[in-house]
Amino acid sequence: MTKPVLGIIGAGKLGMTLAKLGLDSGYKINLSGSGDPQKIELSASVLAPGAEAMYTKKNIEHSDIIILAIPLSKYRNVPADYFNGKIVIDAMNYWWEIDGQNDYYDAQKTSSEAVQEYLAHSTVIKGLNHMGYHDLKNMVGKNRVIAYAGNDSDALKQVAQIIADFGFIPYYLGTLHETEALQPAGALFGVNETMAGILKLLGR
Amino acid sequence: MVDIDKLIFGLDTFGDVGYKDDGTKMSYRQSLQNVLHEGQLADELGIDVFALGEHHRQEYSISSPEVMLGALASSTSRIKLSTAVTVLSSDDPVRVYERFATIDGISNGRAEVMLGRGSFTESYPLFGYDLKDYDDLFTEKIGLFNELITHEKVTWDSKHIPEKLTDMTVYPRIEGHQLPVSIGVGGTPESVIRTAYYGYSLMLAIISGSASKFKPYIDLYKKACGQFKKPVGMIGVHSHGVITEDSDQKAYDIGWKYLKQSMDKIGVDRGWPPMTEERYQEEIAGGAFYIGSVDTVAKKLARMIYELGIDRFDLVYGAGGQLETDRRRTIELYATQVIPKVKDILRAVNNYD
Repeated sequence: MTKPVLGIIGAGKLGMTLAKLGLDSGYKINLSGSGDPQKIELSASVLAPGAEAMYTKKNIEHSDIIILAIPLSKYRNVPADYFNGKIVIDAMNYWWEIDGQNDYYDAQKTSSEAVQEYLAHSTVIKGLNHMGYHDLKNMVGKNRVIAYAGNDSDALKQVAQIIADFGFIPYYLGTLHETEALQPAGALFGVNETMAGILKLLGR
Repeated sequence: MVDIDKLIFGLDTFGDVGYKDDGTKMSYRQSLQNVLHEGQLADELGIDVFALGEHHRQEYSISSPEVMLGALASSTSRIKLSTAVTVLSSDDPVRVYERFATIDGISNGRAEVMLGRGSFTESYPLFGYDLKDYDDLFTEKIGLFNELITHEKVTWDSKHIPEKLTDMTVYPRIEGHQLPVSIGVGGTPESVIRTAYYGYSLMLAIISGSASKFKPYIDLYKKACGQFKKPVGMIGVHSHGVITEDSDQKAYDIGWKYLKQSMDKIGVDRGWPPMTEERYQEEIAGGAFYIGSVDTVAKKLARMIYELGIDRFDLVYGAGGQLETDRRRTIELYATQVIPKVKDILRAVNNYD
């Protein structure tokens, strides 16, 4: 089976790290930052050589699965209809130091549910968000778990495959509504653990 | 091949409020004076740079590193005096220039500045800045700051900077040399490129994970310097450490108590879990913590310097506070035993190469 093309939106610490992981696992990677791809070409040429820098609109058009690796306060800057029909991996976290006051999630609604509401004609899967970018680089192939969550079984299957290809063990957490554990202060946020550790943290 | 004679070794602190040897917490006054004594000790022991961070948080005593450096300028004789870092985005570039020109004057040309965001963003609301302007603020302010250190007469007009300058000169002048500038980078590729663009030196803050994973940032910096036709500046690394004479366990215990305390406190704010002991051990074994006996730390440091081919290493000491004696021991052993040993190892490697 041919691998889907991954389009990473965000060329910072996380985006660049995921791009490298994807390339190392044999994926074609499209990468976009804010605006002109020229701004990220130099970084990509060294940190993720082989990733193709392009405008975000083109990135989405030319990719099968999109990974959002931008600050949570920025995703609404991209028009929702660009994403229509795509699987979108939400790797974003609320970080008060960057995103300001928290109007991204509350006790009733997780931040990923809000992303899914915005991207009404896409399938959002939460994932690749809870492990810090340093750990992502250091823990490939070391039996570490990356939890993911969502509501669409086919999309979930595809995302689990990506996590496994990247060198981690996928763990299905639940629906988008059940992603509190992946948000700041949640049981799995910032966590870099084996399966036993993950299950213990979740009390499962 | 590492140029051993040109290697620079520094000591950095955020001014974590320390503890007296009886275990009681120092007051801010005691803590500030203690850092001055430590800076004077570092100078006497031949450390190359003493660098102080700017934070505006309860657990740190230093929010005005330049005032501390001013005190050290007149009580030390040869050590370079730097910040690590000055949070330029929430500061006034003209004032920053003036403060460093003053330190440089008092210290007879020993001032250096390290610019960056720092580990936290508490300075933004404190000084009335909006975090949403983070990128613009840094871009504009570093632009003006660079004009100030490279030109006598400065003309400037940009959106987020209140002062509009036309052929203005700022005093006192920095004399005899250009102020050395480095940028503290945590891992944002754009910051690396900006450092190269201005021809500044690069300081990588390696707080967790294997140092070898940072090699691509060094490659990026060099490639960007080439593209902007700037000479490659000094490349340094800044990491945490605790050093004891010959017992790894003793250093381990100090770090486990105090570094954990410091990391966990930051974690509470950011929603991270507390540091696990397994994690702590990984950081010591193959990660970013230089914790152990003189022998252990020297070997690990030499390996890292060789692998990355860096020009400078700054040891962050006293994280989480630590007892006065333990802080002092780390400084003394670093200066008198670890650094000579690192140089010996690298010399042997050079001969072998």
